[in-house]
Amino acid sequence: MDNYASIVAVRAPKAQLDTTKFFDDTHAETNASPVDQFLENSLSLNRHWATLAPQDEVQPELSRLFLLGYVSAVEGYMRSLIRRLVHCDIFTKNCCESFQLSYGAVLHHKLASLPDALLEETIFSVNKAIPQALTKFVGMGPLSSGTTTLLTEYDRICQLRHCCTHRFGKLGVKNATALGLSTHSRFLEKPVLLKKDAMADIADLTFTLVKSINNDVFGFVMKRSATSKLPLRDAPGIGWTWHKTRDKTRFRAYYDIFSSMKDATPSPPAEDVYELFRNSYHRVGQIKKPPVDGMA
Amino acid sequence: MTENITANDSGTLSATLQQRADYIPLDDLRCETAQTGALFHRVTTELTNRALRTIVGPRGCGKTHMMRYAWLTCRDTRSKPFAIFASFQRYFRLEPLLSSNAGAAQLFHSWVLARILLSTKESCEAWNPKLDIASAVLESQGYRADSLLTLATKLERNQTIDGEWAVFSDALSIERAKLIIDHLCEAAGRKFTVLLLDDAAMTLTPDYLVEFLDIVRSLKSSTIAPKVSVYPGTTEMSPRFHEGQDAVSIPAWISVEDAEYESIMLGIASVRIKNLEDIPQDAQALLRFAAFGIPRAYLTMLEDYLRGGFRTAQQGVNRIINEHLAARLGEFRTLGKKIPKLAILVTHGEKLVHEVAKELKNYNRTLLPRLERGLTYGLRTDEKVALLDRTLKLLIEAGLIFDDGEVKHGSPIRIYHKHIPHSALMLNIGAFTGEEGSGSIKQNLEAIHYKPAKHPLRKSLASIVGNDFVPSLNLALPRCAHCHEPRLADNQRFCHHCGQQLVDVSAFNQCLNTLITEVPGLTEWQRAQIAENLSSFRNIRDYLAKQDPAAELLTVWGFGKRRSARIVDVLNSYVDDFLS
Repeated sequence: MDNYASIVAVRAPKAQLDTTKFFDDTHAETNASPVDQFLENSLSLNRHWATLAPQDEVQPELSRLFLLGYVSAVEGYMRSLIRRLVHCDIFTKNCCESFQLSYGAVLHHKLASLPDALLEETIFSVNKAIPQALTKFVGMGPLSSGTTTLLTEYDRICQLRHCCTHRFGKLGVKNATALGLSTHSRFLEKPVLLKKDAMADIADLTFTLVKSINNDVFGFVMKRSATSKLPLRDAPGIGWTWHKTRDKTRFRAYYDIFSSMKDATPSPPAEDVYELFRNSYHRVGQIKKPPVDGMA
Repeated sequence: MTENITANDSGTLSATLQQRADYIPLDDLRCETAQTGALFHRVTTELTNRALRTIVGPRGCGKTHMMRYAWLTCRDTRSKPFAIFASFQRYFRLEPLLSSNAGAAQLFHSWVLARILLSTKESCEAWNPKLDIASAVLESQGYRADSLLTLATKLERNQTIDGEWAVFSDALSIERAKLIIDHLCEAAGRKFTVLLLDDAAMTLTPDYLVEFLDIVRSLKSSTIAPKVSVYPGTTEMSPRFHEGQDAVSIPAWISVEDAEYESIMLGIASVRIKNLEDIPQDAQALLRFAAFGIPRAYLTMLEDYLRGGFRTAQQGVNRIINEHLAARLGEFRTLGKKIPKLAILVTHGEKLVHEVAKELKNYNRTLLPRLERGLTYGLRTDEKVALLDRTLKLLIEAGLIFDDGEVKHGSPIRIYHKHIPHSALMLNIGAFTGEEGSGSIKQNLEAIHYKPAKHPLRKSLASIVGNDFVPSLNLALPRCAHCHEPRLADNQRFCHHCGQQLVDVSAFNQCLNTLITEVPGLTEWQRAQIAENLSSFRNIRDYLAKQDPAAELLTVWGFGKRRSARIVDVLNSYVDDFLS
């Protein structure tokens, strides 16, 4: 014990890290819709605390990891949604045409997963990133005001996530400022403590946020597919015929991206949704007749 | 507002369907209003003063009528304020948003403001002299009247609000609405505005009610006085609205024990019923009592009597009272369907009111020989637990029990809450005969006119309905839609078994499957007429799905435009009433 710097005992790691062993190469990407993937991921987290007996509580350090998990599930949803849309929706594809990819991504990705590389530099764990990405890649305008309110709330979760990722749960000044210093200053350097109720608040918000974004984007994309003009086309839209059988495949492609089979209340069948969609837009492009004099 | 068709448009569906104040043409309203009784004067005064008020009473007790009458009085009296009448009856149509749109509260907010602004314009057009500038004033704030109407209709039909509509919807603000109202009030040369907000109980969607009362509070200013019509107990549902502090409540429901009861009800009948003298005095008196303070009920029963179809007055009165009772109970039962969570409380509530009425019958056995009668049951306040209170509130809200306030007895002091069960139910079980059977008209009237007993019937609830009654009251919480595990608590958000998010299904969408003929509030006769003549409208969904039901009637019946439009108006009101 000559060296004063050996203040703690150290042993060299017994094995060299082999990260290739850390991945599951048997995993195959499922055909589940982005929202179903989100549900699947989040439900696996939910079960850890929702099923606890009334008197039991989640362990604090685990609860902080769950928080990371929920935000990660939201991010996963956004990536998956945009990727699927680039493949399926011609308008989205047009939006993304001018973006550049790294050479490595082009060399090694499969064609189908190339759009993933588009999002390599994008993170979704700050609230503004979500609408920005939707505008950049999908060409979408502002989200509904309901979703926008949820995004503000989501940002608060992201602040907590930041504490959990970088400071083992303790509140830092920057995050406290974002959450409101007047109310949070007394919690500086105090750890995040999430009980079951708090977990329910957080999970509830992310579930509602994702479902809400899903419906907003679906509404927008479908409307655009029926009403916006593509270059080199005379008629608006991507060529809906408004015949159920002829539109079936095309509609199904969109339906599969946005519908949920795993939710407690699954989406209505494709035929029903198509019917409502057709009712809304089948008159687009027709010359408006003057309204027949109706009755009071 | 509504076109003028005389009530004597005999033989048509329309004439017999109209007991609702919304459908009395404005020009007839004044001569069809009985201006009798202290209650009437108190309510009209309160409706035209500068303060925020809630007008409290169950369905059909005359809230709409009084509001429309107050509007008319304001229009025709220069010293009165400017008045706007707006109805929120269609709020339930926005209920599906609660389970499909995260921005439901914001959309509801916009809907309320759009409805208020549209009504503002309507009031200006019906004002005397007509205020032509309404549209221009609306437009100066960026609100075109046709856009407001489209937005409100889109929301009521649950259509997507996106793009420019989302921008427009977000642009509706309370501040600007107040500016518009003040501007028009000034143009009308009045000092302030009363905002008559009808059908604002929003029983079926407490989430919206809280939001609504917030809007009402924000609308209140030194120049705008909102008046809100609600059911008994409504405002207690909002944690942020305090009776007494935010608003004073004005009862619009008159007790059968009130000294002026007879004269008020008689007054209403004599202006609204054309051949009143054709009905024997005794029959009138018994129906008056059976109406339980609800003018609409009284008028409907009198109309029913005039239509005949019975051999003796006794037979007619019995049948009409029983039908009326069945309709009230039917209406109460639909609450269980509209708010599935309350289904158990609703079935228990029905049992409760029946058992209490039976106990009062027993009580009267001892009173009648002394020439006294009792209508009131006193429940000790310390017996009231949360769910029992909720059950009683439901009964009061539906008008099956009259809440007669509290009374103190004995030492140590015990506080009793007095409840009067529906008088039609009391007559139905023969509470005033002292024997089996419901008794003759004469016998009943005699007993009703006896002196009221000094004390209410005081007996523990357990001894009337059994010991297991209160413990078995429970909320029927919907199961998890995924794994069907029952919920543990009302505020649970995730299933404790499978972890799925718990989202309540829309009660509105389920209500649409109701058959039109099952809509409560219609009498047997009306039902038969509808079944016979309106075969294309089977359930409410069919009816609402028709773009232009009036056009359909025109082809089916070969009826005139006006008559079809009128029938559609009236049917709309029944469907609206059911869905509210």
